[in-house]
Amino acid sequence: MVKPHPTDPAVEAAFKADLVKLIPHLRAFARTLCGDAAQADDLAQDAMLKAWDARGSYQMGTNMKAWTFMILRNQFYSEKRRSWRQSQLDQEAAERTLVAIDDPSAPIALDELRLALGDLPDEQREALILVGAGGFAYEEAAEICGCAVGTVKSRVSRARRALHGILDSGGFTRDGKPADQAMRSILADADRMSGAR
Amino acid sequence: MPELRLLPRSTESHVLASPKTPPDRPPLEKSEGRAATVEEARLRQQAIGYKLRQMFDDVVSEPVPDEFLDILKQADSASRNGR
Repeated sequence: MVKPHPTDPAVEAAFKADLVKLIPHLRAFARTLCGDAAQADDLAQDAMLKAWDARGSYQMGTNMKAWTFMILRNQFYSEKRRSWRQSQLDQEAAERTLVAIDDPSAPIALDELRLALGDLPDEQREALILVGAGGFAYEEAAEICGCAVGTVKSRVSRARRALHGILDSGGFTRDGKPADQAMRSILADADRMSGAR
Repeated sequence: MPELRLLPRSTESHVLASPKTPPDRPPLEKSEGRAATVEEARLRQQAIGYKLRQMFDDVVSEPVPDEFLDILKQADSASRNGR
């Protein structure tokens, strides 16, 4: 238990407001990290509470997003060490994700990517999410993960290569659609977006 | 990805083997093929990166479930009462 410092109520209110603003990002990090929406929200709530309890040790003005993300990933790994997430659970979560979307016109590509992401080793997935989606610099991601900058860089590039391979190898099919169609749909989406922007 | 993994190796072997390369395979054609592969790989990486950000941003833009704010409120009032 972290003992909170006796703090100025105004400072505490500012901390709380900042923490609330970070909730959507914590949820997104948790969701992409562990795949299952319900488990992810439990994880994000735990991380939010831990951050609140540890508010006395947070230095105002430093990167609060990175600080809370570090709390969340540490929580993720400590729960995982207690075999909170076994391969069995992974399987069920993956199946639920697939069943949950029954609109046949829904783009399949996000599901494919979600499953492919789940196949990556944890440390590669985490590095890729932080740098590729969370908006962190390599240096910040290294601090969050507690490793060297070069390690983050190599994890990100290995993750990118692995995703590329998984998505391309036809490992995933859904509604009888092979993975190369999923890839075409990803590319079509990306083309459309880059045209729109 | 085969082409990504093979790329540095094939570049290297091309450089090393170039004096022995038979004249019936013009090097220009080879490099054009390689450029297309590199371009395709780059596009695919871009598409994956875009989708990854979309996956993340989709959750960020979801409304935060009330539970989060309730829990934080409880923790806040508990710490006030504890003082």
